[in-house]
Amino acid sequence: MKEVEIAIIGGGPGGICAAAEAAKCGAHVVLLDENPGLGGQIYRRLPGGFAVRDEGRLGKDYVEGTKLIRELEQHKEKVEVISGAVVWGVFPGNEIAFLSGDRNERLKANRVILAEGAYDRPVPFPGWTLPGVITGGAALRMVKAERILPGERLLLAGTGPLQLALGAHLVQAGAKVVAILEASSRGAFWKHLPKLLGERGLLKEGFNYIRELQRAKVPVLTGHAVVAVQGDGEVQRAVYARVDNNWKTISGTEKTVEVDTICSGYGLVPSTRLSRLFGCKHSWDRSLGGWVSEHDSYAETTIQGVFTVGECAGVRGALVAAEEGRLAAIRACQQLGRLSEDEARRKSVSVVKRLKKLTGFESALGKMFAMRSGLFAQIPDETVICRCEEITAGEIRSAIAEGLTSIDEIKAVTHAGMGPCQGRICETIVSEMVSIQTGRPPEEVRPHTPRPPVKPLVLGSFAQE
Amino acid sequence: MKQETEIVVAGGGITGTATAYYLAKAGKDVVLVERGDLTRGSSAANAGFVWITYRAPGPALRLGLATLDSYDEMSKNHDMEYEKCGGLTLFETENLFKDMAPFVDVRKNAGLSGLKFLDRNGLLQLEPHLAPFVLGALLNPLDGHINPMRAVYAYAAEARKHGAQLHTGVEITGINIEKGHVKSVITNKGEIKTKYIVNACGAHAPVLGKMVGLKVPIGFQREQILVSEEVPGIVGRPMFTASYKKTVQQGGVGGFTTAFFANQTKKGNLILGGVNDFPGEVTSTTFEAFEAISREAIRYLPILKTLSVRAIRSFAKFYIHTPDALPVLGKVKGIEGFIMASGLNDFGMGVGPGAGKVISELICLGEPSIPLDGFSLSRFEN
Ligand SMILES: Cc1cc2nc3c(=O)[nH]c(=O)nc-3n(C[C@H](O)[C@H](O)[C@H](O)COP(=O)(O)OP(=O)(O)OC[C@H]3O[C@@H](n4cnc5c(N)ncnc54)[C@H](O)[C@@H]3O)c2cc1C
Ligand SMILES: Cc1cc2nc3c(=O)[nH]c(=O)nc-3n(C[C@H](O)[C@H](O)[C@H](O)COP(=O)(O)OP(=O)(O)OC[C@H]3O[C@@H](n4cnc5c(N)ncnc54)[C@H](O)[C@@H]3O)c2cc1C
Repeated sequence: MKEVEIAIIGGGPGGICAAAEAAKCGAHVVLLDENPGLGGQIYRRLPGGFAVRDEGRLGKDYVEGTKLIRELEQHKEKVEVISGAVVWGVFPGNEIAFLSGDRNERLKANRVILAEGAYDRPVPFPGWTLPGVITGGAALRMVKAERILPGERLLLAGTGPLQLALGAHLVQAGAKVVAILEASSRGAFWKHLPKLLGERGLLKEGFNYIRELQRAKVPVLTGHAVVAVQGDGEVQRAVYARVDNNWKTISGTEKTVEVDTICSGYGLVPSTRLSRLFGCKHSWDRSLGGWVSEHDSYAETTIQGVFTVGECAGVRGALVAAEEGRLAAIRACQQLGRLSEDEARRKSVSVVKRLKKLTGFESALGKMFAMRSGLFAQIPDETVICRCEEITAGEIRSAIAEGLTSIDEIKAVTHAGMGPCQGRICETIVSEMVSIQTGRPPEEVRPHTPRPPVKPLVLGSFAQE
Repeated sequence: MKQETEIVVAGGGITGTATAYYLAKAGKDVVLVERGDLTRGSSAANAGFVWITYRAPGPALRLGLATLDSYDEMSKNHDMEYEKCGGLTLFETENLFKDMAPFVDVRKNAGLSGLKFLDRNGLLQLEPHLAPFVLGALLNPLDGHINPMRAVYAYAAEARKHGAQLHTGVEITGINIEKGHVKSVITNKGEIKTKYIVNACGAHAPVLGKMVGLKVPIGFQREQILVSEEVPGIVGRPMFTASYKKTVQQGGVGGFTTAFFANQTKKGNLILGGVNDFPGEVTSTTFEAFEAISREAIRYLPILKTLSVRAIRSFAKFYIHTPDALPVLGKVKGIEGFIMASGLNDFGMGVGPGAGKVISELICLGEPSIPLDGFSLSRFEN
């Protein structure tokens, strides 16, 4: 089995910066990412076949991404990038198993940096499984990196600044955005928006987004959320309404609008499959997006030699991801003897300073845009929660009423979470539902026991003897 | 939680929940305590085979038949995904037909009259996807499969309905004996006075035994299984090979055995096995097991490769064993009120409910309908 000093999983800003920094410190690194190219979510490259003449026209993120990837390319001899590598399991002794094409491979790493990122938070409402309902992140990815419009008449519903970015990108690309529904109250949203944008290095862009939206006369309706989506086989209409402070629909305020696409953007959920497989201790923090792996100030988890950086360690944007990646790399290199304690300290000073600035006011703001339970309390019984196995809210509620209160137990009896997505979609919803129905705080609802494969694995990927 | 009851059942697996159900149904005052939740033990993480073919004619086989009756009865009110669809033992060599003949003969006269050898053609009619090197099989039409988790929850629900109290997150840490009689159990949530304690702790039955000074020779190994995505119609009934494969790991330490088996759930997920080893009390799954199980599954069912079928889950639990592969059931010498209901080896789903029923009879009537002498703990004394 191949052995490396540091394996980094995830090729977004967190992973790229970790790899570049580690290489600068002299370590040999393997960077694994499942996509055809580096960049992660925010800096995703255009698909092969596109020729880019003027990067500037693809936006600030694209240019930023190119900068980071160039930085990494300067250390080619130290960094092996394996793109198209789906990590499906980690095993004792820091063994990492991944599918490369249709071949199964394994490597052993002395230190591991997890930079898996986050995924769109699923929020169910009647009609959310209709074709035409997509997540905000997926829509961003389509317009930004795939250059396709997800629809012609769109309604954006959710919370947080990414919605504004999405709206602006859609408008620029020629789509009609009928409205952006922001669940937070008016005061909260506009008051904190500049800070939140600033923290993510998006202040200038942010105002451009807002100007773009104003020019196109896209209303931003604060204190509103989508209630239901209707249509015959596909999205045709959306019903939306005012919501109270807990984001529960205020009845009597419903309105209907004709659209062909809904982008549901309620923030992100940290991906913690791999850190859970490693056995790292996790704790629950709503402002970070839910369960995250506990770590020290150098991003090292409770399992020695395993680090977690970027959105998988808490949803805080690309800039934090990048700095955290660097910090973890410095620490790992020190542990490997590539840096003396002194050198490591010196190198981390400026990174820590930048991180402090970025995360200074984060938790208060994180809370502002964090999910409220009202949305989950009002899910009708017939609405499907587990999309893989088609299990409804009613089925889950009756299991909870029978006294089942851990995600594993509910999965055992109802099958929710047993499908190919391994509960990625329904786990957060079910835990909100348990919390609401039992009155216990979400941190007391025991999450899944994770098992490999974290992504479906073709049985034929192992060579026959 | 009650502080006093007549019977405490320790362990919320298939054996414990079934025992609690039969006791409660008979009007007894029962408290079941489970240290984790009801998915903690082996009963929530097995292949779901309900097999009685391999039970020795006599009391062991009768426990199996009683279990099938119990499932039939329970299925009236609960969808446990139980199907008496038959089960297949696969033969890869001609010799196996001959070697198995006496085994089949004795069982045919002891209640399994439907046992039947199938040649390659007969087998292909039932299971068209099996590879050509499988020459035939032994079919028992009474065997079948069940969703083990649903089974546990069904017995638990019925037990509650009949007045039993079930408590999860309660671990037994000690047992008080006075003058040779069980007086109370100590748990992490307090003491419960009781006349009886039923030890249905699966792999941990020896720990409970030790609390009262008993040596219970139950060992366990880890067994690992893969679960595929939904691909209906690959296998019609649970099947396994009697041929094991040993893999010695590099350096000669450790090592594991692989034996192919397959079962398909109602939804179409394939349960594929199995790899066994002895890592101690560990329930993680290994790369080597993924590799070994995947390879064997494709060797027996090449269509899995053709269709690019994917694994979506793996799991591992303790597969318990006794020296003579028989369960340990009934009273123990010298401690009045201490009842064993453990040692169900690889057949808990095919015997657990039957065992629960007779344990209940033993407590309620003093005389079980199936004699338990052959299953007593004292058989290991020499
Ligand atoms: C769909 C989507 C779109 C987004 N778009 C924007 C945007 O336009 N602007 C913005 O500011 N923020 C956006 N975000 C937020 C974004 O997550 C962060 O800003 C930033 O990308 C975080 O960087 P990261 O390095 O932590 O993770 P990511 O950039 O998410 O990188 C993680 C990488 O790891 C890979 N990976 C994960 N698991 C495995 C595995 N098991 N095997 C192999 N590879 C794996 C992922 O495919 C991904 O490439 C988006 C988020 C999502 C989910
Ligand atoms: C991978 C695998 C596949 C298998 N496949 C099959 C199959 O296909 N068919 C079949 O028939 N059998 C199969 N078996 C065997 C079967 O699972 C067992 O025989 C059966 O589950 C045993 O049930 P049980 O109730 O005796 O024990 P368990 O289900 O293990 O229950 C014991 C319970 O006791 C609890 N406990 C332990 N100590 C304490 C304490 N101090 N206080 C409170 N509670 C305690 C445990 O938490 C546990 O929940 C398989 C086993 C494994 C591991």
